[in-house]
Amino acid sequence: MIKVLLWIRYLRTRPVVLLSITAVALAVALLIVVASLFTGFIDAFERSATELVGDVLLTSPNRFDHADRLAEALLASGLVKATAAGTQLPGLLHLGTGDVRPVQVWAIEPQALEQVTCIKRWLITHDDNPRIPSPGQHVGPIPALIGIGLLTEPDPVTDRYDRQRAIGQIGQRLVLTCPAIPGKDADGTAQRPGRRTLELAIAGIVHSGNWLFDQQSILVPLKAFQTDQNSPPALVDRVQIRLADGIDARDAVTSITTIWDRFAQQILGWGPYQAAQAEVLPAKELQGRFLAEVRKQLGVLMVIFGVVDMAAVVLVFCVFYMIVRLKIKDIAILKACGCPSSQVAFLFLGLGAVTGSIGAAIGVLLGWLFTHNINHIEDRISALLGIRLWDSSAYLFEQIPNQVAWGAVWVIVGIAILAAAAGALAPAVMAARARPVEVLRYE
Amino acid sequence: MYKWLLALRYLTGRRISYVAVMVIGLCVFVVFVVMTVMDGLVGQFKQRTHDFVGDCVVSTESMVGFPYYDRFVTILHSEPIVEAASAVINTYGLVALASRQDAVGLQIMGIEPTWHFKVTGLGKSLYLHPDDPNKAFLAQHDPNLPGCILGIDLVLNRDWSGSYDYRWLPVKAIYEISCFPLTAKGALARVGAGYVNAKRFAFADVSRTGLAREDGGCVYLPFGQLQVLSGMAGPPGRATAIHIRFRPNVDLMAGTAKVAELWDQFRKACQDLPQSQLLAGVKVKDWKTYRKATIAPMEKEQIAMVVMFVLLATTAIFIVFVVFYMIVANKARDIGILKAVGASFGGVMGLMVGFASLIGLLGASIGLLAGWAFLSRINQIEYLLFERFGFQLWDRTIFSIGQIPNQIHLDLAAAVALSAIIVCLTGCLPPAMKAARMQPSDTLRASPV
Repeated sequence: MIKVLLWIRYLRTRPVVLLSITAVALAVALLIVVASLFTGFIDAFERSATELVGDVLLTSPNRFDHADRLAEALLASGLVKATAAGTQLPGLLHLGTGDVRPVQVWAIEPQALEQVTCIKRWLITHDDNPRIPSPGQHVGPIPALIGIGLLTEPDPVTDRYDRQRAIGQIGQRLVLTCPAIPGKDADGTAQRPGRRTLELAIAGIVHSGNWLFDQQSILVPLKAFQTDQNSPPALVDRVQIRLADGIDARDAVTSITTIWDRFAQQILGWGPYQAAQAEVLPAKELQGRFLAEVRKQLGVLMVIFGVVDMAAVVLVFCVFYMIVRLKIKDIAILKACGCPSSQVAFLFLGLGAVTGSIGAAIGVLLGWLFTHNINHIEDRISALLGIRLWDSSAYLFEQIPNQVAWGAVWVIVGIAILAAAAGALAPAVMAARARPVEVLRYE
Repeated sequence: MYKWLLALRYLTGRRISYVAVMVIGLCVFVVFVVMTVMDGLVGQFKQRTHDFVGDCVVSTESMVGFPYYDRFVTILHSEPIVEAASAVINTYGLVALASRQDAVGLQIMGIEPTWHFKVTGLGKSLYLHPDDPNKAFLAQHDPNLPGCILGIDLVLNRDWSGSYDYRWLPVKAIYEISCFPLTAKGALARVGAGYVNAKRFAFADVSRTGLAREDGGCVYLPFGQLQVLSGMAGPPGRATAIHIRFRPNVDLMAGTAKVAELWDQFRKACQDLPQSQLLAGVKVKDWKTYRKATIAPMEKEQIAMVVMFVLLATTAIFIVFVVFYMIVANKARDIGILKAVGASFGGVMGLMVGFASLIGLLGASIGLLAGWAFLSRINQIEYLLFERFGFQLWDRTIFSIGQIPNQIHLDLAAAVALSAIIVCLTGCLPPAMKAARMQPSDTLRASPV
């Protein structure tokens, strides 16, 4: 009890302890903000992959047909909720007067994609309740969904797209050229590769918040790539898969690979080597190497700031050294009254831990406040200075990740409390070794 | 004189001073190392961008381009401030290996090597015929076809050290490049006739500019060939940009302003000519403004890092404050005696400020020395870490970074050292003021137990 009373007394009467608390709070807040920003970016990247692709992606270097039969087999397994087969092609898009852009063409049936991705949520049309256009509904140019970044540039200050301007372009005619998807002739022989030029009309705009997707993507029905209405469907090379609720993507990969192998060998007549060339990956791992680099950069930054934050430990040492020097007579009286050395040491170690805890708590609060409101803070700075600090073209996403990485927070808090206690260790030992007879002797 | 003697005595006699020196040294070390590497990366990127772009660019964002570029180039060449100027076409095309169905949408840049190599560093970035404009587009395998230069990352992979194995150059490759030819009004020139122009080019060389976007997404074609492909052959012929190199002694801003003035005069002189409306969208920018979109994020990150270090410097200020507070408390009698024998307020302040400066100077020297030693071996250390633990600061197969930049910049070192001294002075001020205000009668009076 006496220890707690003394801790409270020291905290109230020695303002210099506040410096230690401030230093710990600053260090903790900074580490939390850095960890949250990086973790948030990684999470956003992985979430974006799942929203754009589905839970699992199957890609084959060799195009194949009978994708409907593969879908049946996958759905029958009970693991899979929906599939969308298609292909991605590079293309060149003429958007109107003097505007030509390289694009990524998603040749896929949009209605199948709706089941697998979040595309419906991102769709903008004239209608308040936008619907994915059906490939069978059109006459004339092929209806296409287009990334908002192909129609309008983000505002240099606010980084926001002008959605009304983009909506005004719905119905506009486009010309797309891209490699043809070779199908098979009626006799089963593969068609020769070539180039296709398609006339499209904008049926809807997709605003996903992923800068790269919004700037580069155009979704065209796979049917448009058939040579004519009576020819067999165009070949595909990827199947996007949405798993049934509660199924883990990593667990599902093995089963999906088995289903694919069986399909490739039995239906397509491929050999085991050709079938094994296909890759089945959870969507979150598609950019695994890049994300591993981001995690590494986070680790490096945490080490750098961690080293600099060692100064906070030194500060705790200095402050406690000073307190021990100034309060040496109090300590000697305590010892003279029978307080054992271990209790005296614990008094200061405990005070160190309390200092660390209070500092860490304030740091968590500051870190949470800053991270949670980082987009508002950035908006204010942008309005004030006229420059955008967070640019979606550089960092891929329109919003700065503002979720606190609580997993990292507890580690940082734990280390902060231990570090503060470690800073108090040497002064605590010094206090424990104080001899009342020497300290209290009057000279 | 006594101030410096006492300051030295406090520094050597009070062990707690070493703590302050150690912390300042640690902070200086980290800041110096991190900022040197970061500064090196940003500087490297800017230098490569400058090499790629030249000093100044007259350009339009529209892919339709602008006419009479050749007349303006002639005007520029007659200007004493201009070393060279080169017309360029920037457009997009679909590039496919002629033998395969794979294709990729890339930026296509049409250049005239003789002038462009004088304006930019592109010539030096070539592998087979560096800085030789006559052989830049020479396709050795098929001299009948026009040649093309590809960004190196399009054809070769980087290994763990960031190097390329040039034995795998696709010297026999033929590429089919397709573009949308545009009319002067921006419409498709070949409506009803397949819309696109396509032509085959043979591999001539690779370019390694060190810029990820260019090395991984740009193909260079002879200016005339791309002019035909993109429908800009005219008459009048069109280009999308003119890159300019100023003479060595010309100030960038002054040179850019002069070119802007020349352009305004030229535009007015051309206003009655056909297609002159296309000249209205043309802007004159220095290289930094022209590539602001790619340079600005790096500079902002550098500033963010500085802000974070400034926040962390608060802790160092606190440490200096506590150390001085202790010293003043312990040396109250010395200060009282000093004041009793005539030391003024300024004298005591000077003593404390001198002491703080010594701590800052010593800490900064130790930090800078350690930083220099670390930086000079940083690449060897990274190599050792990679060899033993597979750790690299940046995966060179992903990032277009060679060695970790470790060139010491004296201005940066001086700025860090100065900041360290300022931190010490800030931290010492409140205790120093307290010391300077002490009254001898208070400090020298015998105190009860």
